[in-house]
Amino acid sequence: MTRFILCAAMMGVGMFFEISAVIGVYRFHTALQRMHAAAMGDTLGLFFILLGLTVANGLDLTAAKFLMLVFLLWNTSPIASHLIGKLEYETNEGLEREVVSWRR
Amino acid sequence: MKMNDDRIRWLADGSESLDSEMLREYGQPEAEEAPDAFEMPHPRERRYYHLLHTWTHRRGERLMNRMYSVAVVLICVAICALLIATTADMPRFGDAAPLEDDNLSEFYVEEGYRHTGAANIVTGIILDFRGFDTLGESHVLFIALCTVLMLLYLPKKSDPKTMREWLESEADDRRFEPHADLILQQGAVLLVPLVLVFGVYILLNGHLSPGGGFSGGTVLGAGLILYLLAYGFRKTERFFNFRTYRRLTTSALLFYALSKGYIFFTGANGISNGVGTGRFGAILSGGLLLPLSVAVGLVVACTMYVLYTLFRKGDL
Repeated sequence: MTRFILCAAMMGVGMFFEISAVIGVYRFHTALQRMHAAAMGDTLGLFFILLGLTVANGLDLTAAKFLMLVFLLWNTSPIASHLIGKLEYETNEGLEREVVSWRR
Repeated sequence: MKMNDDRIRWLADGSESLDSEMLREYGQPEAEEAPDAFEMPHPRERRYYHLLHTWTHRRGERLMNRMYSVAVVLICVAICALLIATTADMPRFGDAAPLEDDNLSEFYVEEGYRHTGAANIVTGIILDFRGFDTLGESHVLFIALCTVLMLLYLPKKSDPKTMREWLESEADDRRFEPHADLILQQGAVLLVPLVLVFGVYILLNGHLSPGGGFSGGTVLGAGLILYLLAYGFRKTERFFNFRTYRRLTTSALLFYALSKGYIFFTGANGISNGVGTGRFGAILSGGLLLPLSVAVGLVVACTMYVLYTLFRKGDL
């Protein structure tokens, strides 16, 4: 029972991050903001969901595969986000206006 | 020789004055060298040579063109007729009768292992029962890549115009991706070996578990592209240049066609082919399935990688 509650809590946290990522992707206005939201869903959301699945499954080979997935996701997704951000920084001419607009 | 040294220096230090230097060096067409005096020993021989030359350039070329168009039309009409004749033999659209007493899929599932020796029956079907189909798919990839090559390949000729084009593309490449990203490089250190090993695993395990030539080759090609993105052309062209691509693809396709032809020939004539199916589940089982999936995977990986490099800068 404790295990189920723990698993459900983990999955709930993961789902919260995923849902906020989806809402962020649709509601933010500039590419950098949207990218931030999407990257959060890829890293934290999937991490918590896989953690919850590991708790539900118990420690065996499948759990090792989940950990491998987390390892790969945490390596690839931030790098991809970094490269997209770099591209946006180098190609978007109105970036300065977008970034400082909150000051006014 | 000087041209080569300059290119190497540019690639090495990436000087800012690349464009101006390029324009100064190769903007002007080089002076034409005087053609070699072609000595003919005998006037009669020279006349024959002249006759042959003019015939080739005037009538021979026209004759070849005409023969080529006639052959193209004939081949197309023959293929059309063959396809229409085959279609006429097929059952009517929506006719369920041929499916009712068709037990081909049951035959594949029940007897497939005995015939192919593959634990993964999907690979057994696509590489053994339908081997010609897969051969055609590999050739489709190869032909698509040939078309892209014709459109996008920039040959490195001593001709100043193409040389300038090539240098411009190189300069663009250096300007827009001047220094490979450090974060990407550190990630690639970790990821490229994993991706490549996983691709090889899928390739070699195709007849035992889900996988095979196409998926494994795609993973391999993606790993190569990641390596290229992180470390640039200077690192990849040390082990993968145009000659490597040509040799790999041609030998893989030739091996596939020859071994498949051998298997079909011996099978149709009831000759023992000397390739057993092996023990169930062992890595060396399933007869020729393992080398065939490796051949298909090589073709797919090369095609993915070369397509990427051609669209990136028109060269390998």
